[in-house]
Amino acid sequence: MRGKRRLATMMALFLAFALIAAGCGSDDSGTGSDSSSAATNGDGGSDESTPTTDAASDTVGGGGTLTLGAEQEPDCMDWINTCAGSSWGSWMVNYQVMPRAFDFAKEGDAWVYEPSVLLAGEPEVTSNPQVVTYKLNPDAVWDDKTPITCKDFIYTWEQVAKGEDVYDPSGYVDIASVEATDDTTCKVTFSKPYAGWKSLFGGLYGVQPAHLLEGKDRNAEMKDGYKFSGGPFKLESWEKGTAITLVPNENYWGPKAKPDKVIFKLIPDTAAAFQAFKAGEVLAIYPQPQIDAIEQINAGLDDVTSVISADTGNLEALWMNNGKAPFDSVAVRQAFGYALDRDAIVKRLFGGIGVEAAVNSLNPPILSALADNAAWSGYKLDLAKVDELMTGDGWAKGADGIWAKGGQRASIEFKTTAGNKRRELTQQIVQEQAKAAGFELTINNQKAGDLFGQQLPAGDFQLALYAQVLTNLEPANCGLFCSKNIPTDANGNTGQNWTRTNIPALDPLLEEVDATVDDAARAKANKEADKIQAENMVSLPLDPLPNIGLVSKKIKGDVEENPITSVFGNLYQWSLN
Amino acid sequence: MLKYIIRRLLYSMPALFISTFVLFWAVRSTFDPAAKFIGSRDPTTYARFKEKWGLDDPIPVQYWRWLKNIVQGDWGESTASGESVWSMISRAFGTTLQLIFWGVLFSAIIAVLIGVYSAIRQYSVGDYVFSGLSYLGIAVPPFVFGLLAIQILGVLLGDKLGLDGPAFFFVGLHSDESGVFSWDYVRHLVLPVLTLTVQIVASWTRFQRASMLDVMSSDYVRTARAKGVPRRRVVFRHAFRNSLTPLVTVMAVDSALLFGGLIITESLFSIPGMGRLFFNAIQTGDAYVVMGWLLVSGMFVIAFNLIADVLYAVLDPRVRLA
Repeated sequence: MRGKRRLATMMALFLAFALIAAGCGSDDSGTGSDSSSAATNGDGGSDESTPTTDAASDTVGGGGTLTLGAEQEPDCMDWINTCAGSSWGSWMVNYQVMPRAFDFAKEGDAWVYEPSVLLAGEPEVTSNPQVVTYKLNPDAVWDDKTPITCKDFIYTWEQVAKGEDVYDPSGYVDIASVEATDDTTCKVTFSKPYAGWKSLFGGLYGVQPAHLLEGKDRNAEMKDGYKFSGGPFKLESWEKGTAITLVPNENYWGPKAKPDKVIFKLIPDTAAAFQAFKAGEVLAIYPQPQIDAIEQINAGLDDVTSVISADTGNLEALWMNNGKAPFDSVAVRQAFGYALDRDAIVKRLFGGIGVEAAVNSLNPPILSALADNAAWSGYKLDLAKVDELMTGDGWAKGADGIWAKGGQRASIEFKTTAGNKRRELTQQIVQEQAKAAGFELTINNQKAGDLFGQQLPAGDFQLALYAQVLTNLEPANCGLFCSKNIPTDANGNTGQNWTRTNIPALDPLLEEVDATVDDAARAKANKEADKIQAENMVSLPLDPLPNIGLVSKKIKGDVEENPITSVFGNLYQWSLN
Repeated sequence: MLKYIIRRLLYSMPALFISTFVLFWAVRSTFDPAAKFIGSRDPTTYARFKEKWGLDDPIPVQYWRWLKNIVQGDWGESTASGESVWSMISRAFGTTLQLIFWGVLFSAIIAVLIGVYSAIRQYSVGDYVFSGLSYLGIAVPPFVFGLLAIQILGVLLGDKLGLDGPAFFFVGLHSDESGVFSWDYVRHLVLPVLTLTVQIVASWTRFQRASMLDVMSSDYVRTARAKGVPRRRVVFRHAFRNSLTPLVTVMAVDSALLFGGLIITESLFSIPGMGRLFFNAIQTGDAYVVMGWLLVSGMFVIAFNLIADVLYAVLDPRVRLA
């Protein structure tokens, strides 16, 4: 009898503990060439990706539940705060729920800003001072049917320009005033010309709802997820570390979302993500272009639409320290440019997924409309040219085949982020090619924090391999190449011209790019800047880090890659039916 | 006994204090949580972030600030997300607890059964097979076994059964809207628990086998057999219970180590537990989260070691704690 009672007690304790253990984890309360984009089928076929259609469907949902894979989750969802800034956060939630003034669309071969459904048309722009007048779509409403008005623009500006702990106030701090002419007309006056005005009231921040957030702690309201929406979807839940769930915003005035529900499951491990995708546990993944991902694709994927695009906001380059020997000599930099077969390098890295051409501008491919896309095209493998330039600069080859001058060998320290297999492979190929041309490269890789946090800003490098990534369609090259941005005590060592580029003829052109509103004049200045940079070989552009979207053919609807909003940019059109 | 427990707890405090300082110093001097702002379009963001979190202060000053707050029950906030460290730890702990509970439960049952069988059938074919499998289980890294389990029991079995997806899931612990103890939960739990269980079972089986063999060769068991007590009764009434004592202490100590998380298992199966929390926090230099993790896992190691000692004394009357 006593034994039975003890058994019953043990079983009750076991069940109670099991319930507690199982319940603890069920927390549902929390609310990244040829400038071409091609879609290839898993069976080896190839289709042109279908352009986005803006035709609005009348009905919400009906398209089933889409379970998709995500490599990362955002640290928080207060997009203005320093805790945000995650690309995955923008792709999964921000671009799906926040209204924005401009969309990113392809026009011919170029990516351009296009007025979104939030606007009634192209804003009016006047100069001296720069005034942008937005006419809002009178149908535009938040999910609670409150109209989206100029008050929301004013609130967003004040939060970004005057708020605390802001991720990036660029552009907003150049606004002198935002005034409501009427409910649907918003007049934005700039204190100084700002060329990138189309990136404002959208981009990483969107337009924020004044009627819900004014007078409240915005960060507290938004950081763990929020229910309001001015986009095709609403955030249903954010189960941190596990999943983000979206449902359609029934009151969205634009094209209605087709899926009944979208679940982004967090799968940080690339191998696990591919397994989950192949097994059908998730219906789409957007892996980084690492070697293992490319090998998985080349191994073959059945019933998959692969969207692989070299038309990205990424630019991976060989960044040269123009202030440090031997790259303080223009001739040496140029010779190094002729020492490498960049197309062969890109083909080795990404040829398996159809990306075979090197980038020939220091602007990422999505800025092709503003860039001289052939500026570096003359730099092809030419060992005779290397010999001519090096000997002309007083260098002579030693017995070991390495150039030397004044007792100093052309031995160059080559740095990148440790542990990145694709970059390590790139280094090995570059090292081999450079050696054949008489340059000795010594690989010395670093932790990302040390490289980007200390060594590059301090100029403690000769040659480095890393990528610049754009999250909008605005050139950022003055920040990277204007002499005023070389880290010095004068700018608090916060300048980002780590290559120590100092070309007097370049500065005014890049400054003009940042301050000229006229697109044609801006493009002309930027192309001229590209040309000067190439002539002086300030650094050597390499590859566009292609974007890879893999989508199961179970998903119906247009599947395309948008370099800003990702393969999930037109998620609202996807459906299982 | 009480004096012993209090003394053991007091002895543990300096160890916890020193380990938190060493880890804080290591994280702060190795990782820069503000590094993600270095390429920002606004060059002042980096400096603003460092000022906000006091990252320019000397490391001992930063540690003292953390220590003062933790004594007052303030676990601080994550420098990456701004979320309360306590809520992050609680959430991750709940998830890891599920894995540990099921993993330890199944491991204990299987290890005891195999261990006893191997001991009473020593040098039999079955004993050799289980011994071989044990060595294999100890030798194969969890990530290899996990990947094999995913491929075979997840992908291939799903195909074989003609399912529209894997037979057993391998992303997270549940699908959307699935309830506690649902079939969906079981399908998510099988592979990570199996991966966790294999290595533990392999090791515990060896302990149980050795312990059982030791007891079976003891004088009192020999006496019982000589007196004609049936073999089954000797094994289960006399030998089995006494053979559990060493295994129970090993189980307590091993389980405590699991509370720090299962980095590989949790990463492979995309489970947001303590191991992944620690791994992510280390990668981003999120020192306050790392400290919270260390405190919780450290306290569990201390507590379970103590429990193991106490249990040993309770189970074996010959042991006296002083």
